[in-house]
Amino acid sequence: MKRVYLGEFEEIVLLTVAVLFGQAYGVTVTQEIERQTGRSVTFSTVHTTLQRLEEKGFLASGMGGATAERGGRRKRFYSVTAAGAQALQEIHQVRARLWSQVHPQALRLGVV
Amino acid sequence: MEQPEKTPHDRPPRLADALLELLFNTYEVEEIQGDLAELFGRRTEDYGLKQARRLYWLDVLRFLNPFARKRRIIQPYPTPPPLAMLHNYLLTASREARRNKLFTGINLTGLGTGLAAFLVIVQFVLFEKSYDTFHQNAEDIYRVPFSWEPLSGGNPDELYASNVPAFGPALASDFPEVAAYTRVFHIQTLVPYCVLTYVNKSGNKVSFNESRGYYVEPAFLSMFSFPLTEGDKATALREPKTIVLTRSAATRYFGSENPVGKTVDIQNEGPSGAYTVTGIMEDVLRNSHLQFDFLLSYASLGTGSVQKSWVWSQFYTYVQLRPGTNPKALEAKLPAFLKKYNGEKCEYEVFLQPLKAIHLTSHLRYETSVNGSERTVNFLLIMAGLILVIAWVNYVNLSSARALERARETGVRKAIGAGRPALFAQFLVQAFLTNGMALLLAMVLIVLAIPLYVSRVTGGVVDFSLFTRASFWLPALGAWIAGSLLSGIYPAILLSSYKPVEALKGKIRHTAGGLYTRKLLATTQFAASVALAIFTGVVLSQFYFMRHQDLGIRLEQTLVLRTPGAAGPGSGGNLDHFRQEVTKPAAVQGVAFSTAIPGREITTTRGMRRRNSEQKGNTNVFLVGVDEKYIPYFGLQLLAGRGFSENSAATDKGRSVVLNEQALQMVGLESPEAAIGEKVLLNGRPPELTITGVIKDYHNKSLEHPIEPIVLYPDSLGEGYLSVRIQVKDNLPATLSAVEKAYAKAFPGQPLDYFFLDDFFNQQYQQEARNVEVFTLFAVLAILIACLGLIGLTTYAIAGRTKEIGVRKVHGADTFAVARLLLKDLMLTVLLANLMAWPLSWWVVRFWLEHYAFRLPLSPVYFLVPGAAVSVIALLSVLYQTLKAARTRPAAFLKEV
Repeated sequence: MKRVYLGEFEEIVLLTVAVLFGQAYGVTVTQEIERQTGRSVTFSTVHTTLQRLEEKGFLASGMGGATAERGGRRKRFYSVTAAGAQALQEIHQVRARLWSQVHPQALRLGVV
Repeated sequence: MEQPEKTPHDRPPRLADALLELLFNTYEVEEIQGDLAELFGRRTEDYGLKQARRLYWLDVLRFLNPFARKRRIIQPYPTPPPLAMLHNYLLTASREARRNKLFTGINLTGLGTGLAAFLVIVQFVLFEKSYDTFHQNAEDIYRVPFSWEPLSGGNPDELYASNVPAFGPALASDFPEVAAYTRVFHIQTLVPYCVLTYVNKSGNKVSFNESRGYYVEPAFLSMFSFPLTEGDKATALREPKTIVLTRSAATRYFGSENPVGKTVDIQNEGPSGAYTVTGIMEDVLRNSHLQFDFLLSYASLGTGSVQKSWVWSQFYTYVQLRPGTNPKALEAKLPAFLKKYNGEKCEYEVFLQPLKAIHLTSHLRYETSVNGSERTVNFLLIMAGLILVIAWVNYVNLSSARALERARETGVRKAIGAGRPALFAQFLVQAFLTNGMALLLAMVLIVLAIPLYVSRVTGGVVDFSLFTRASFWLPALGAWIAGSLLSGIYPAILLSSYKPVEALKGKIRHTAGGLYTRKLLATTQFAASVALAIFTGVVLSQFYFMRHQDLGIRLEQTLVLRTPGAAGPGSGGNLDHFRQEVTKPAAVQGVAFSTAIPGREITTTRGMRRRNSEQKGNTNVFLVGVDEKYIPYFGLQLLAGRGFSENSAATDKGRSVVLNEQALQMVGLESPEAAIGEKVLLNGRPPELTITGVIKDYHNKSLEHPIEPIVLYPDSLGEGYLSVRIQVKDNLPATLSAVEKAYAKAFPGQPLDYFFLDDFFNQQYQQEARNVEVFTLFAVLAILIACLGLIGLTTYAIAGRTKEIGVRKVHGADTFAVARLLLKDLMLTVLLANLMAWPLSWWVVRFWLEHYAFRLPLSPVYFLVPGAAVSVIALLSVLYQTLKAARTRPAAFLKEV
């Protein structure tokens, strides 16, 4: 299968879902991204991205876990599919390979 | 779910929520609103209410971005694949079937027996319709029957299946469209015996008196598809004195020897002698109207009138037309053709009869074998169909009567989203399931019934190979699908129509229309049962009428023996010898000789006219040669004159005849007394014959047929039948062996076969007997199934009226009054059914009886008795439930909610 392109924000959302393992739904994902990245994300962007990732097959979802503070409405929990996990792995490997090949001088990092 | 602690201001802005609900469908709104509400709660804690509300609005508004929404493809309710619900339907239906044992039992019994009867009958009908279809040239082969009178005269009794021998060759030479023809002449036309004898090398003699054989022309084997396993079909029957045997006939004479080229000795009128076996053929299939064990070459008959006669009408003639010939066009040319050969005065006519139509529709005189009856076949089909319909009506009625019980289910299903088509499908699936189970039951019933009943009634036509044939499965599946649709659609429409709210609140009541439909169906169903009962009663009565009517001739205790051919012409000596020998035992009370016996068509016919009369039209009479003992022996009643006696033997021989009343009428004589002494001519040729006696008409054939004009003449040849009256009650085996000994003494070395005359005569009623048996079974089944339906309907009717019964009883109604109330409806149904059935069955019964020459005198009894009987059975069948309901203490009913 041709590799599916993952946008930067999509990658972050997907990773966050993985981080939240089992507890990922609209609210937690939004807040976790805000907390981890410090940037302000709108709920609708997160919601749309989750949906898009599900369509692409990287996420699976199921309804459940209604609580009082939600007015008895159920949540849509997301989990990373095998395809999603593979996509994340690949991105990670590409980055790692690239990092390993960067000359320390190039970014003026290495030698202190 | 509202949160009671929250003040109105604590909640997310309503307007924003409303906007969300506009943007998303109900299914999506849940999770989004949920998430936003949760965020709102957290933000209220973190940033305060105002900011939270602002952010809420912001989030909602961002959803206005078309890219944020449009991607949503998830549907409000997932549409399951078309068959996904099937499992649920089947599950519900089978639970339903298990829960309502009465309902299921009635339906399965009715549908199962109905289907079983129907499927067996279909097999039988298909077999009857398959006659002569195995001939490759069947489409082009026609039999040419013959009529002494113009066909327009319209007397079907005067049409003969056979023809004159000169007809075939002349037709073939005059009309190029005739590709081939064959004459077929039965071996026992001239004399009532045909003895085949084979002596093998070791000197063992095998000899039988055969009756299943024909003289045929060489073309016979090419026209018809009777495959030869040995010999060449083009030449096998070309030479005189050649014979082709069927496989089993060959085994009978030759055992394991190869018969081809060997000779058998045949004693038959005229062409007796040694015949060479030139071929062996497969046994004749059962669905052939020509049945035989062997074929003799037509050339053996010689070159006399068997080739050239235009008046001897006992030769079956089959022609094969060239493909594409219009038989009607050929038929139209035939009158001119006949006049060409017989002069302008020629009165007789012929017509073409398609080969495949012979078995079911022919019914002419002098058929080669007993024809099937299209009438019976059609009646059987109709009856089997009626039983099925009655069973289907049960299903419709019971399903719709039970609709109330299932209204709630309909309501629930509709409330959780089932559409009407889905419910419709559900109830249809149930019908398919019930009918499918009934089909399985039917197959079990057939398997059980084949050895017990079916195989006998259908003459072995239906056996276990049934289940391997497409001709079984196609009608079976057809009946299943048709039955499921016919019986399932009305309940499905009714049940799927309920409005969910009313159904759930239990507000659905039986509508007057539905009740009316059910009553109408039940009445019609019962009318059909009554009609079947009446019809069967009449068929039965006609059967007994025919069997027990005085025949005018004494057939009892008569053993019939064939005189052997070897006795030869004029060898009266042997006959006298036998007579002396056979009357010695005390148990033998008399013996008489005749050339024909009752129960078999008389094959000798002549045109008879009075001297000097210019009589027109049909003059055909049937001749029976008899001895002096014949008239007293058979108890024939002399109306005038005298019979033949030993004293007048010399003067009677070749000069005197005795006529029956029909023959008398034919020659135009009024009274028996006046007829004595009148002179008649046979075929217009001398000698003149004197009428010396007139006998009362007697039944020579079954009462299905009219009495024929019969002429008795004193026979001197002694070729025919010996009737021996024996005391059956005495030691029968001893008597039989005494008769055998006498026969062996008088005709040494001749094969003997004998039969009892009354049994032989009654064989004519074999088909009638089978009809009676099958029709009776059908009528019983129909009534049974209809009664089951009534029991079901009554059960539900009572269930719906329990409270009424309770109240009535509290107010003082006694058991009798309640029972009367409950039975009133049923009485009305049964009465109406009778009124419907009577005129209908009167019409059907008349149609059925038309076929018989001697009919049962119809009276209202035949309608009232079955009607009353069926009504009583119906009442009895529901009596138990009615009484049970009427006896129950009212408290039991009234306590129920």
